[in-house]
Amino acid sequence: MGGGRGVEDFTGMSATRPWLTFASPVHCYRLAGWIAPWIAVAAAVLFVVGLYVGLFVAPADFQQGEVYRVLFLHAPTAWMGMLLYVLLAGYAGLGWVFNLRVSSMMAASMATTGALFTLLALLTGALWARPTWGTWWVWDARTTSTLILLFLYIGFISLHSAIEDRRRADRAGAVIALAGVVNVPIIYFSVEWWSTLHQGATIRIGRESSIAAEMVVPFLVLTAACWLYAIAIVLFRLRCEIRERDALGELKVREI
Amino acid sequence: MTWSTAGAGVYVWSAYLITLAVLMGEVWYLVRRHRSGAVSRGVNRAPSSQVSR
Repeated sequence: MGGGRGVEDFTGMSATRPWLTFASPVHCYRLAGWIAPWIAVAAAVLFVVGLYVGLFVAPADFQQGEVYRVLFLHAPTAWMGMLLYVLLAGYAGLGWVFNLRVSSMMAASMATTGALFTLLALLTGALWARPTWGTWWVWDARTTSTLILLFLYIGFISLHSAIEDRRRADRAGAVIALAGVVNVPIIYFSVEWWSTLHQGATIRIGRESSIAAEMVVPFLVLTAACWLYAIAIVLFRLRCEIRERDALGELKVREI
Repeated sequence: MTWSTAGAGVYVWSAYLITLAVLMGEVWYLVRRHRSGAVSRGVNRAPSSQVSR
């Protein structure tokens, strides 16, 4: 595609409007390619450390015994599922309102990772619930609203894939993302609003944790690992998305 | 490790292995997607540099 202008011309444009610099797919593509591998390496290291500490170092729980170790993965994956949906809705909304392509592409890049984290939260939750509650699944407020979150992700991905014109797909996806974001506070506060089998939050920012310090460490390390993994994967997928849209000729030369 | 693969260990190991399998599967899929794009468009070719925001 093309024209005769190069990156330098765009850089010149962004010199007068610096906030546009990282709204450019070109800059995003290069920045993502530069930082994503480092973040991926950091995520891998934290996963190894977190899994080792969670499996072999943290002591057994006095009530749940060894099975509580599933929660070292369950809680971080559940948090990531919710956080990624909020970010997805934010980026999709920004892309829709301000017509920012990169913002919409970021939203599309987050959907699969968010869906997988939500699926993992449900699977690990079932593996923890079987020996603890005596059943794989209950229609508890939190599990049900988390299942709805998975359906919202699947709805977003399906709708986005079903529409051939990516810009229309971005706008349609933004509608479902913004409509569904109301589900996230429902998931978070469900254990306080309704009487559920789920326990309340054990780790809260700004308050003393109700679990032992040696048990908090694997939680925090694996949460950081999940965060870094999600960032790296989303950036890699963003690069794929940019390149594919560019190949389809959807990233047009901007008239300035 | 003071606990065996019997009893609770089955659930714990299943959770850890499923999580790793899913995350590694996503990485594998993305690497394939990235490479297929690279093959069709030239390895490590950046997108056209004149694109709009």
